[in-house]
Amino acid sequence: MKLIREIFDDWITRAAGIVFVLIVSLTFFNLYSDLPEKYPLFGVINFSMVPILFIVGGIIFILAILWS
Amino acid sequence: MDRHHPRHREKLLFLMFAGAIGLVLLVISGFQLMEFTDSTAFCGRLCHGVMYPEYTVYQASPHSRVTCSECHVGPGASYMVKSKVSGMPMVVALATNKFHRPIPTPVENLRPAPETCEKCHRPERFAGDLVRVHTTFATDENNTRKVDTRVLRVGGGESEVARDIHWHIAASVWYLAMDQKRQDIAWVGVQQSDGTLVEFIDPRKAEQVTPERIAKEKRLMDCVDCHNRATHIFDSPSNLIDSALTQGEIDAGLPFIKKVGVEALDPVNSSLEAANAKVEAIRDFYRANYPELAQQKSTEIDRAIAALKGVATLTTFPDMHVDWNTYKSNLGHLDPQAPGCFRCHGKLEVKGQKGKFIDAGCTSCHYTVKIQE
Repeated sequence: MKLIREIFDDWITRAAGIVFVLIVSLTFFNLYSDLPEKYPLFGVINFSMVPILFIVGGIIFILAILWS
Repeated sequence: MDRHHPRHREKLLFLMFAGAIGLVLLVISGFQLMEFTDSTAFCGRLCHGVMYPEYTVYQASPHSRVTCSECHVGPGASYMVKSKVSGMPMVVALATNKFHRPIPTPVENLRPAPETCEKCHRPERFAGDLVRVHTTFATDENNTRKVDTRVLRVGGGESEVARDIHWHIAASVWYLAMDQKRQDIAWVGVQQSDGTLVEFIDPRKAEQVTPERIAKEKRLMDCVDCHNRATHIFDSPSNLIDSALTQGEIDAGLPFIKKVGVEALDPVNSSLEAANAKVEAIRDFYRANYPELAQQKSTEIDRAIAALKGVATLTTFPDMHVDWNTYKSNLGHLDPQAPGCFRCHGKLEVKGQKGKFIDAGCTSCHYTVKIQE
């Protein structure tokens, strides 16, 4: 816990953590859920979120490097 | 960020770990996204209003287990990129509500038949004849059945002589169409085993058929030149009711069922709800005209109404201005607006031999047989 607290002691790393969790959750949700097939518009938004989140994560990564 | 500072190192390690895992998940998600955009649910239901007619009849077609992308997109990265790029203007047209109603058939953009149809169907295996029993029902009180049994000469897949229907794709038959829908064919060239061409030409259009135009626009005949409606089949209510009567979905013992069914659905209704309301009114027709039968055969009437609602679903597309006359099938020659076989047969004559037309005799393609019931 101490290690996690130390890693996430600033807002930018916390944001990176949230984006990471979202990417993992979305990917697994898309793998196992049939909701995107049932509701194609929801599917398009859902499937498109991962690349968008990845780009956001990349920006956060660069910011984290620069600001530290 | 100082790599030697323990806390900074931990942060950097986390960010690199998250980035690496994220990259792997991005690849998986990218694949999922591509797969999803190739799915039938995406094609048929996301653009629901536009593709509703095509999607509806596709679900009832013999190819309903073949996905849209298997015919319209194709395998591999190049086809995928091509389809996504060519799909962009369609997305814009959809978003700005500037698309044709009905949607024009993408005759020129269809993938070649060897890459689609011939993945499952092998033309060289087409041999022998096919007995086709075509049952129709009259619009009289007894729904009088008429059975036409015909033997179609669908073989010819391995034949080297011009014989039987599938010879057309076993041989190299080139043609030149004068219109975008490929209904007006003015020149045909049949390649012989020695490489020479036997040419046939529409005498009325001989001046328009120039060697330059042939070289530029000629097309090798393939499956879709005849089977142009193999999946998105828009049949008339009359034909669909005949099928339902033949298969027993509608009881042929219900008086005038063919007549009232056709009258409810032809001409096309203003909406599916209106069509269903007319079909429901058939119950009142029996209550008013055949009260006893309406009680005795209430189950059969319910089943007939359910089947007719199914026919309504397959024929009522007023929003996209689509009905059974919109997209014509090139199979056969019974529709005066769709000449089918007669695009060439009986119309083109052997080049240089005036009056010697391509055979249009009935027995070239089929003959009738009498079957005692």
